[in-house]
Amino acid sequence: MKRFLTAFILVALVAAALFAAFLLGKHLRTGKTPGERPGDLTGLPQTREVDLYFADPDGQRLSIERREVTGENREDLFARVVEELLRGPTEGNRLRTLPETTQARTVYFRDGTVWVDFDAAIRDEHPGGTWTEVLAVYSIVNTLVENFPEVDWVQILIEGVQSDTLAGHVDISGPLTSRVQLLSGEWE
Amino acid sequence: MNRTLIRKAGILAIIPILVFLGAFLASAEASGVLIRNGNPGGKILGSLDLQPSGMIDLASIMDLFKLRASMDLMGDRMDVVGQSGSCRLLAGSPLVLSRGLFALLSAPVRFSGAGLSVPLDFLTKGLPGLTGRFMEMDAANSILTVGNPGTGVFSGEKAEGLTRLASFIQRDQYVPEKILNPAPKGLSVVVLDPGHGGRSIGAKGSSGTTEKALVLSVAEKLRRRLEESLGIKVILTRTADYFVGLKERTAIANNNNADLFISIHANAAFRREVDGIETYYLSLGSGDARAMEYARVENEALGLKGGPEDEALLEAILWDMAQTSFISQSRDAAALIQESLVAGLKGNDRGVRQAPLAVLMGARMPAVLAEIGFISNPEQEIKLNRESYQEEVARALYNAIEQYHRGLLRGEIQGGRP
Repeated sequence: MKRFLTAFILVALVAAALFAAFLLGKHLRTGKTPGERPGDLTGLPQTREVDLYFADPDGQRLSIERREVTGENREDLFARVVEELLRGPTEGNRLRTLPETTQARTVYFRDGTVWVDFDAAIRDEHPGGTWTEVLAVYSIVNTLVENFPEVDWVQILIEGVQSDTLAGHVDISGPLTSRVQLLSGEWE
Repeated sequence: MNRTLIRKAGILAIIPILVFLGAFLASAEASGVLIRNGNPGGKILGSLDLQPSGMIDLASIMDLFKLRASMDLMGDRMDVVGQSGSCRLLAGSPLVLSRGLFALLSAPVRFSGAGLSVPLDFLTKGLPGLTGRFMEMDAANSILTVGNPGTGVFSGEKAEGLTRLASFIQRDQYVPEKILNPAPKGLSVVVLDPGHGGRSIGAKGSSGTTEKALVLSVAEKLRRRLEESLGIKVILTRTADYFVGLKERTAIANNNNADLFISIHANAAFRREVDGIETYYLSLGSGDARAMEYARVENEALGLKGGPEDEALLEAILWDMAQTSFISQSRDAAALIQESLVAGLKGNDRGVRQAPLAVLMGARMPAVLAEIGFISNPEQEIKLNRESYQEEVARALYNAIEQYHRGLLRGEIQGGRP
């Protein structure tokens, strides 16, 4: 028991260290400053046309649906966009990519990375399947990265913590960036 | 003038003959290494047996040089500790890590039931840092000369801090096969990984079929065929309905020096009509964010000190990178499996795909994931539930593995392990 506890603490420490190193790194990122970027929406109510990434009827590739989304400020806009993804597609026989019952608990933006924290339904209600999971993860990532130039990375959290995968296959332990090739059903 | 030239040429001509003769004699005697103290008239300290493969049992080195070792939780890496330092060995990897420095051995370290074995050059690359003694290998006579205490350091790449390892990784030189160039050899150990298990149920069919139960049944049928017809050793990452972590699965394959890792899964989609077969291998650049982060921190001259945090980060990157050097063999294996499943099951071909799959990342051997069919499709679910259909799936997978095995033997597929 004691050994198990020590091991657990060790694992937790290593995870914390990795996380801290990553945050530190992000903090020290140089280059683009938020003010110079187009699409900086801090503090302003905004209505935007966004490309929402859903799946095609055969579950082979991502497929775009345009929708107008309004948010009170930048973070709120990101949260609304995620809500629209969770609401699902409305036209063209497209398939949803995320379980209907999923809710986003918080959406947080800092230094080019959006952190989206979902409730357990995103994992527990997901049907499974490797490619279905790829499309689920990258519908979120592509939508946020492709629509907002200030977003470089998306970190998915489940119930507030980093997870290795969403449904047992795709690595979501770190921040992810968009994969537009998924529109043609390819990884790259 | 002319005469000296001729004499020089003559001497030059003799050198290769001497080298050849020396090498011949050395190979004839290479059954052990004599360990000798470096002091004048130095006495013999002992000897180490050389295995036919050219490897040495680590336990015998530890006895002789009074080293200690501890295995980590996952069981696929080992920390070796000596009087003046420690190093980390990874199953199936030629890297020796020591405080952010590394040495590249001539062959991967092998873990097996009997213990751990290391290639000969571990004596001169890893041992000095552990013992604090200089080591010199007289390869022709198989004599290792041991220096006085305080003369040895870890003989990694002459790096300061972690810089060299990071740039080494970025240049994509972590390619053991290129260094090893092994002779053609078929499969001897295959690890089958029935997906999910325990609390991880996986996909569920509408009439209650669970992915975890289905894939275990297929894996067991495949194991039987491989053992009976191909006579190779088969290891399952789980043999009943219990939870196994994703990293643990690859660690099992790494520990057992597997030549091929096949993860078996059943598919699902949001629409029940979707059906077909897919086979995956790892996409390159998985774990990019971490590697970029590492390089960036380094570039900004923050200076990685080789502390525990840096080492943890480094290990995470190495874990991400483990599969990169086997990508082309993994692609070959995936193509054979996909083709065989589609033909054998007359299924809809959804293609060979790359994806950032967590279960394949840490594998230090060719590794693929097969999605044998959609249990979210009610018709498919009924089929997949039938024992006879599961036998067909197992037979199709068997055929692909057999083809891969023959391809290795004929040298048409490069790689496998030395």
